[in-house]
Amino acid sequence: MAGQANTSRVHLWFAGPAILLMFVILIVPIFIAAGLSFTNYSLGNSGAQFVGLENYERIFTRSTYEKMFIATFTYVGVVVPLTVGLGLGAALLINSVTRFGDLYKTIYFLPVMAALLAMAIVWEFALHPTIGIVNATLTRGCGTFLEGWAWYAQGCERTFPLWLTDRDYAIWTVAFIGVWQGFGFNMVLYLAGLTSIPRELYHAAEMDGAKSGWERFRLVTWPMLGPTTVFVVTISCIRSFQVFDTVEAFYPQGGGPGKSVFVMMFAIYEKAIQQNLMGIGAAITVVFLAFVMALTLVQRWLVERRVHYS
Amino acid sequence: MTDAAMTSQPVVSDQKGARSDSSSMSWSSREALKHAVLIVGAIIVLLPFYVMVSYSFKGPSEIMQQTGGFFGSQELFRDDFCVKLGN
Repeated sequence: MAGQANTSRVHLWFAGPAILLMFVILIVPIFIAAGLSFTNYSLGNSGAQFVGLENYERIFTRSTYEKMFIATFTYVGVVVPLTVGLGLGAALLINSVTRFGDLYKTIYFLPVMAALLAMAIVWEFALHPTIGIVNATLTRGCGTFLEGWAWYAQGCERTFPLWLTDRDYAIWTVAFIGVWQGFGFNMVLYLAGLTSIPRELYHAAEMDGAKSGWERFRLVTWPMLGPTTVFVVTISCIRSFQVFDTVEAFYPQGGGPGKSVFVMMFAIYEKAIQQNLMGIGAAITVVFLAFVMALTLVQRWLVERRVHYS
Repeated sequence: MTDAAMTSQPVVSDQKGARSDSSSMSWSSREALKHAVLIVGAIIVLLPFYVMVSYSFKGPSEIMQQTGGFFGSQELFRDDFCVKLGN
């Protein structure tokens, strides 16, 4: 019995350091942030007053934070479907070509490996209204059939958009860069998922009458990619909620034109670090954490209950 | 997206004939279409890298005036501020 008791305590010594570290590094800061979110604490002040739900009330009532939610959800709403769709499309195409597949994989994965902050500066050059390659290329298309497109004709007549400084285009441009940077990662995950689909399933589907490629995709490929898709969507959502580098590189003074790119991560940085309003910064952090937690819980629920076919 | 792409199966030689019989597009046309789509994607992905490498070869005036092609004129860069300081 004594031996058993000793054995049962041994696992605590193995798991203890990891649990302690996880508690100190992950759990305690969450509780500290939650505690700070109910105060008006700022760095340098010795004391902090309890303000109750005032910080949360500000977040959900003031127009600045309304813009923050709009910008964040627009970004997530654009980037997640496009990165997932393009990642899947690229994976399917690359997996089906007989030559140069590895070359395409390498090219599409390049933006994932590149530092986004550095690439944001390059994009700033490329999207510059006068010296940028994007508007220069668009201008070369003037006088061709492209002018049949009203938007294009208007650009040729006046000027092409100020991609980063026009409030109507800024969030979409930042989202495009997010898609450019993110879909290669999803492509790799989908490629891994595709290799795990047994070939026999395609043969069986074909014998059961699934003749067209679309039918095989709908009946075999897509269901078998269920767990991969759930993981990809969750990771893409979390990464999209965490967008900061591009916004900070393009708009270091805050939030883009008319706060149209005032995403949550940048709001946390601006409030807590630049303006030293730790209370409101902590409150935004808690709201951000709630979104990420909800996404993770939905993913776990889907993975465990809905999407397993094997 | 083409049949083979939808099923993600690499098109092997024994599938070629059967697919091309049932499809209006020949195997090579489908393969070419897939490569065309992938190449367009690759160009968009590589655009900022092209800009980055090209600008690294050019002087400030060439970047501002969009001249000099990809490599620029390769003139030695003269920083007037450093020259004034005697460096």
